[in-house]
Parts: sequence; structure tokens; C-alpha cells
Amino acid sequence: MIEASLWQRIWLRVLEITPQLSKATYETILMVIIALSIAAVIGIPLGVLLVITRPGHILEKKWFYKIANMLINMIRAIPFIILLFAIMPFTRMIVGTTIQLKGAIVPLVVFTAPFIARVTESALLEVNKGIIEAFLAMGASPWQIITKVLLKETRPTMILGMTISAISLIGASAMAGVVGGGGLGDLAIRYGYQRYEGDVMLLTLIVLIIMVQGIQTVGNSIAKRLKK
Amino acid sequence: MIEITNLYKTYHSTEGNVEALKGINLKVEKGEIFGVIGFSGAGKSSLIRCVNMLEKPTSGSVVVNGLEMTQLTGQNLRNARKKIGMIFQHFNLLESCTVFENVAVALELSNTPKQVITEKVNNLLSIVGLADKKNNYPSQLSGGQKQRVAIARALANDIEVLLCDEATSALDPQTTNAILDLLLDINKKFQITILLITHEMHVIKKICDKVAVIENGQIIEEDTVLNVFTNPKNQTTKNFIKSIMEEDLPESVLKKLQKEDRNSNILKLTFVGCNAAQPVLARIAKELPVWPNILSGNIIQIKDQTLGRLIIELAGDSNSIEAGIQILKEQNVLTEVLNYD
Repeated sequence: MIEASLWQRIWLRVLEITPQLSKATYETILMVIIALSIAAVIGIPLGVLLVITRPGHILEKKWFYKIANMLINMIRAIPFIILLFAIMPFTRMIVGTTIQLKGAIVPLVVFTAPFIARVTESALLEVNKGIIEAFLAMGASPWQIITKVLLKETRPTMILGMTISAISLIGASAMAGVVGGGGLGDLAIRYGYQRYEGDVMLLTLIVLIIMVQGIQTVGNSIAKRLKK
Repeated sequence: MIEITNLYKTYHSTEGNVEALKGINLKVEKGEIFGVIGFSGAGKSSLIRCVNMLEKPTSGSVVVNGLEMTQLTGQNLRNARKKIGMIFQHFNLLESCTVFENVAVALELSNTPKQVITEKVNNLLSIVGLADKKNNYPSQLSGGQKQRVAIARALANDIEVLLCDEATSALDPQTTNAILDLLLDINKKFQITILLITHEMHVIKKICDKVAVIENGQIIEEDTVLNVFTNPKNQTTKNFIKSIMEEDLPESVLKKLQKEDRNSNILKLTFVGCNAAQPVLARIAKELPVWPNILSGNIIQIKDQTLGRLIIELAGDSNSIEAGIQILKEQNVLTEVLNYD
């Protein structure tokens, strides 16, 4: 009887938490997808530029390379929790607010885009110079070399890089919860930490672990399928 | 087809300037297979890369098919490059693409319609003998097969000139021969002019019509392959020839000759083409009181001609020897008296 009532209590508690938990999960997923998409749109071209403008590459532009390189290092040097507050005026300028989903997206993008740029850069640098040379000899334009050689040859590495970016974004999105961005991080801190509801904390962690495992598994299998 | 005039290439670096090419002049006729041979660091790689502007020459002119390459930029340069194929030592294929896609990509670069691409790629793959491998990936191919894919890719845009940058240097001897046969075949079938660089005399001997020897950024000898083989002028050239045709007598024979003081001359005889098949030695032995003694012999194929080389000892009195040499010369046998003292 006692055991049954224990299970019953747990079950009731789960039911009680579920609406909040699913809402928070949904918010996290939304934040990650939106921020990752925007960051990729900025970060991948930036990474490509970092590669092709370096000395000796197809569109050598020394000053651009140096400045971009320095800027990315500067942003990457700032811990996300500090970046979040430091760029608030910028965030307000862009989306008009510093709270909620909108307010969280901006710092997440600023945080992730340079990360993706670096991931892209290191992937593209793996491409054998001889292949680029062969395509130059065939009369390929810089754009054709980017699309048909650099990005095509590095698809598996890029998928793994995006997987890592998505996972680091989940971590960052939890911190973004602090400024009212919502999501699992917000839930864990408000209920689990501030209101001492350990079970909420535990459930949040379980959801986060499942999410990270899931993304990594999917990323690995896509990369494996692309790899020849 | 290719005319290089007064070509200079200097590399600048923090450790100083390196003059890779110092005034190269070279002319490759249409339909010819022209080989440039040199040791590593001689400048041959810089030379071939200056032809399609992978390296910008410091000064001088490079004219390919009537176009001054050094003046071209942007789209014009890209269009000119499409007519100049290039293959490399390490093949440089896309690892993520199938054999078919690797060839097709060359056509995609010039926005060829899909249907045309399929037809053309299949045709090219059967020319290079890889029709059955079209869905394989480069990692599943041998070195020779990879180079065949690279050749098909180079041919895709109906090229007029093919540049071969040490194309067989990463291949074993058997595969090298198969690839060289393919290049010869392509040269004949499509009238494609080939400029190749190599460090192997074997490559020159097998397919080239003309050869230039490059050393320290300068061409030190240039002629038809046959002339260079029969009458090399420069020491480096001689060394290259030695790599496939031994010119010196074996040590043991030489010692024996030096020990015994015989009344004889050592002759180096070179037979070119059909006179390699004539019994000249038997003739002089029959007509004169001389005794030819073959010390070493060699016969090699230079593209479609034969070159024979004999080192003989001709014994007898000096007048007869003189007369014998005369007969040999009349028979168009290149005769050279060797001194081993």
C-alpha cells in the first residue's frame, strides 16, 4: 500500500510538472533552432571567408583576414554569461527588447556565429590544396570552388561541427534563461534551484541529457552516411 | 601551340629570393608530346604551372593557342584554362564524389546541360577504360585508376593542350606504362598537344617527341628525343640517359682490358632505326683482318624507333681498324672511339 502510494505520488507530481516541462523543452528547442539557423547563415560564410582570404588562398585579402580573425577571437574570449549582459544595448537595438525569446536569440547568435565560423574554417582547411589547384586549372571560379570543392568535400566534418554547435547552444540557451528567455535552464533555476524543487531539477536534467544524446546520435549518423 | 619566351619566375620570401626560372624559351608544336626533364628543384614544376598561370610569371611571355596567358584575368583566364587540361602526381580527385561525378564536375563548371553531361562522361569513362567503375569512389580505386579518372576529367572540356605534372611519379612501373600508353593514345586520337614534366627518362623515352633538360631554372639541352639519346651534349643529360641505358663497361671487363695490353680499340657504336637490324659487324670481320668482340650491348625502344648501342673491342692492326671504322661510318652507324686509359 505504501509503495503504491509512493508511485502514485510520483506519477501525480510528473503530471503536475509536465505542462511546464514540455513548455520549457519547446522553448529550448525553438531557441536552439532559431539561433543555430541564424548563426549558421552568418558563421558559415564568415568561416569560408576566413579560409579563402588567408595568404596564398583563392581570394587573398590580408587585411580582411586579420581583422575578421581578431574580431572572432575577441567575441570568443567573452564567457557567454557576461556576453549576455554586455551586449544588452545591442540586443535592444536589434530586436527592441532584452527579454523573452527574442531577447535571448541575439546574444545566442552573437555567441554561436563565431563558433560556427571557426568550425567551418577548420573543416575547410582540411581540403587538400592540390584539389583546389586542380579546379583552378579547370577554370573554376572562386564561387564554384567554394560550392563544388570546399563545402562539398567537407560535408561530414561540417555536419559534426554543426552538431557540436547545437550542443553548445543548448548549454548557452540555459544561461539565456536567466534574462527571461525561458527554456529548460530557466525552469531548472527557478523551480529546481530557487524553490528547492529537486525533482524538477532532475527531470530537466534528464530532458537535457536526452536532447544532447539525440542530437549527437543524429549528427554522427548523418556524417557517417556522407563519409566516403 | 605553346610558346614560352624569356620566362622568369622569382619567389620572394623572408629568407630571400629564389630564382626558379631564369629565361626559359620553349616551343611546343601542335600535336607534339614535349617532355621536360630535370631533377627536383630544377624548376620544372614552376615551368609547367606558369603555362596555365597557376603561378604568375615574374616576366616573359606564355602564348597558348594564340592567347597571351600572362595578360588574361578573371573570366578570360578561366575560359582559356578550360581548354588546357592538367593532371597531377597526386590525382587531386574529389574524395566525396563518385568517379562519374568527378568527371561530370568539369562539365558542370561550364554549365553544360545535364543530358550532354551524362552522355559525355560515359563516353570519356569508356575511353579511359573505367566504364564499369563509374559509381565507385576514389578511395576504392588504385593509383592508376585514379589517374585515369583525372585524365577523363581533364579531357571533358575538349581541351587542346594537356599539361602533365609528374603524372606517373606516384605509380609503379607497370601502371606507369599503362598510363603512358593512354596518354599516347589520346595524343593520337584527339590531336592533343601534351607538355609533361618528369624526372624519369623512361617517360621521355616512351612517349615524347621532343625533350628539354632543365637545370637551375634554365634549359641546358633541347632536341628530339632520338637526337638527345644518340648524341647527348650535357653531363646532366648523359646522367639521365645512363639511368636507362648503361654506357660504361662493367668494372671487371674494364680492369681486364687495362691489364692486358692488346692491339685493339674500344668502340661505341650507336644504331638508329632500321640499321639496328643489319649485320655490319659480321661484314667488317669478313672483309678485314679484324676481330670484333662485343663487350656490352643494349637495345631500347624510343617511342616508335629502335636505338641500339654496342660497345665492342676491335682487334687487329691499326690500318685495318681504321678501315673498319670507315665502313661502320658508311653504314650510318655512329661510331665513337673510347679511351679507357
